[in-house]
Amino acid sequence: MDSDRDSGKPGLVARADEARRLARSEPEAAERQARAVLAEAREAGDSAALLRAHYTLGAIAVMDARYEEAVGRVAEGSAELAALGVGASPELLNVQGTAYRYLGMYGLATERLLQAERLVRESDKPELVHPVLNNFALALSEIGEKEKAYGLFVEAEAAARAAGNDYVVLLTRSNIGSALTNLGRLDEALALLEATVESSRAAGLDSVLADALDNLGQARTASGSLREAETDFRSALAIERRLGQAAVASLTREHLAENLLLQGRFAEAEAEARCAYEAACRADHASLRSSSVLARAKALEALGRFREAAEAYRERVELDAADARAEGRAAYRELSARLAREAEARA
Amino acid sequence: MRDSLADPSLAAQAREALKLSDKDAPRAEALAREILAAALKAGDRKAVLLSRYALGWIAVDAARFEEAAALAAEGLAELAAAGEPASPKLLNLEGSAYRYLGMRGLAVERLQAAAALVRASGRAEDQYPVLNNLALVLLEVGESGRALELHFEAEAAAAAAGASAALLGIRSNRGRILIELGRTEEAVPTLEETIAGAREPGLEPILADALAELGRAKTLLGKLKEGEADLRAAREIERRLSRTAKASQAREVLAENLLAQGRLAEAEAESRAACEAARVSGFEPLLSASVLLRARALEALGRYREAAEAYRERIELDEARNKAEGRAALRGGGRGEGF
Repeated sequence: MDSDRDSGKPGLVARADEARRLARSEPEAAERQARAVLAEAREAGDSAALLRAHYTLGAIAVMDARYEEAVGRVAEGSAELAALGVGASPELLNVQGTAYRYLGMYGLATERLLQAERLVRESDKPELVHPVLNNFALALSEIGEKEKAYGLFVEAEAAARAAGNDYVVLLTRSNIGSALTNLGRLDEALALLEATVESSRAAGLDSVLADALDNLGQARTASGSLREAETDFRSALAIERRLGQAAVASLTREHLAENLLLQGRFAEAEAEARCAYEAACRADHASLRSSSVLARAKALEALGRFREAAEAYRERVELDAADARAEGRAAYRELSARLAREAEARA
Repeated sequence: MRDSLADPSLAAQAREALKLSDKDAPRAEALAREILAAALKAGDRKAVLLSRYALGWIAVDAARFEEAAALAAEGLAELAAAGEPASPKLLNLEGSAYRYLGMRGLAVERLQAAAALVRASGRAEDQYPVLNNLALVLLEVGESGRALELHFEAEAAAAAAGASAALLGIRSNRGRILIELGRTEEAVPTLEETIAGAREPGLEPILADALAELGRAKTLLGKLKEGEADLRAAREIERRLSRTAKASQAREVLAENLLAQGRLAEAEAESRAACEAARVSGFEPLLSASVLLRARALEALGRYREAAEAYRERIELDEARNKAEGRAALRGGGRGEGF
C-alpha cells in the first residue's frame, strides 16, 4: 500500500488496516487496536498511521450508528493532520460525509462527499474509488439527484468488480436496484434485485441479502405487488434481527409499515411503526426516531386518530428543528477545531 | 490579506449600484446587470465578481435568497478555479443567503470562514457585517453564548469603523440574543434604547425589528397586552415598507402572543394570514414557520384533523429544504474553502 511506503513506521499502518478489516466481525477489538495505533502514531509523529487510525475509528463509529461521534472524531483527526501539513484526505471526508448523511445533514454530507470524490479522482488510490463513489451516490439519491446517483453507482460497481470484492459488488448492485426504482425503471430494478437476492443467498452473504430483499420489497411496492413486497420485507426483517442489526431493522419495519398502509391494513401499519418508534427511542437513535414517528403519524391519520396523529407529527417537527440546529453546531465545531489547530501550529 | 473585490476602479461602480439599491432597487439591479454584461464581454474577471456581489445583495434585499447564494457560489468557484483565495465578502453573502434559507450547516461554514478571513485582515469595516451575521446564525443554532461574544466584537468593529446606522442595527440584535439566553428582562431596556434611537427617517427597518423583538420579550415576560401593541406597531411599519417577509414574521410573533392570551381563533386567523402572505412571497422558510404556527393554533383549538395536515405540510417543507441544501452544496463544486 502507498501509505505503508509513506509511513515512518510501516507496522503501525498495517495494524490500523488490520483493525479496519476486523471492524465488521469484532468491532470492540478493532476499536481497541485502532486506539492503540493512534496513541503510538501520535508519539511517533507518523502522519500516515494517524490518518489510518482516525479513518478506522471513524468508520467503526459509523458502522455502530454513533454518527455524531464519527463526525467529531474525523473533524479532530483532520485538524490534527492539517496541523502536520497533511492535506484533506478522501478517506476521512468519506467517513465524515457518510456520518452527516446518516444524520440527515445533507448540506454538509454532500459537500464532504463531493470533495472526497474530487480528491479520489485525482489520486492514485483505486481502493478508495468504490467506497467514495458509492457513498456519494447514496447522498445524491437522497437529495433527489437520481440520474447522477445512478451513474455513480454504476461506476462504483465497476470499480468493485475490478477489485474482485464480491461482497461489495453485490451490495452496490442492491444500491443500483434502488436507484432504478427511484428513477421509475421498475422492470430493470426488479430483474437486478431478484438476481442480487439469489446471488447473495448463494454466497451466504446475509447482510447483503437482507439489504437486497428490502430494496426488492420497495421496488415491488412501487410496482403494486404489495403482498409479494410484504413477504420480502418480512424476510429482510428476520435476517436483520438474527444479525442483531437493530438500526437497519427499524428502517425495514418502516418500509413494511408503508406497505401495509397501501394495503389498507392501517392498524397493522400503526403497530409496526409504533414498534419501530419504540425501538428507536430505546436505542436513543434520533434519526430513526424521526423517521419512525413520521410513519406512525401517517398510520394514525389513516386510522382517523387525528389528535394522536397531530401529536406524532409535532414530535417529528421538533426533531427536525433540533436536527437543523445540530447541523449548524456541527459545522461550527468542525471549523473551530481546524482553526484552533492551525493557530496552535502557527504559534 | 487582500480581497479580490477591493479593486478601486471597479469598487466605485459596485458601490454605486449597492448604494442605489436602498433607494431604487430596480434601477440598481439594472445597473449591476449592465456592469456584469459589459464585464463578461470584456473578459474582466474582477468586474464580473463585483457585479455578481452587488446583484447578490440586491437579491437578498428582495428575498431572492437562492439566487443570491448562486451568485456568490459562482464568484467563489471562479476564484478557486483561478487559484485565488476566497473572498470574505462573497462568503458573507453566500452564508447570509443560506441563513435566510434555513440551511444552517452551510451558513455557519461560510460565515465562519469569512470571519477567519476578516479577522486576519484587521479592517474594522470588513469585520462588523461578517461578525454580526455569524452571531445571528450561531444564535439560531443554539450557540447563544458564543453569539453574544461575537455580537460585542461586531459592535466594537462597527464603532471603530464609525458606522452609526449599522451600529444601531447590531445593537437591536443584542436584545434578540439576550432573549435566547433567557435574560429577557435585560433585553427590554436594550431594545427600548434601540427604538428611541431608531425613530428617525430612514431607520424604520431597524425600528420595526426592535419593536418586534420587544413585543416578543414582553410576551415571554407575561406582559401580553403591551407585547401585542409592540407587535402590531412592528407589523404596520413592515407593511408600509412593503417588506412582506418581515411583515409575515411580525405576524407570526403576534399569533404566538395571541395564543398565549388564549385568543385562539384570532391566533389562527393571524397565522393563516401569515401563511397566505408567505405563499404570495414564494419565500419557503417563512411559509414553513407560519404553517407551524397555524398547526399549533389549530391544535389548541381542538381542530386536530387540520392540525395534522398543517404539521404534515411543515414536515414536507423541511424535507424539501434539507434536500435543497444538499443540492446547494453541489453548486460549490467541492471547492471546500475554509476547511
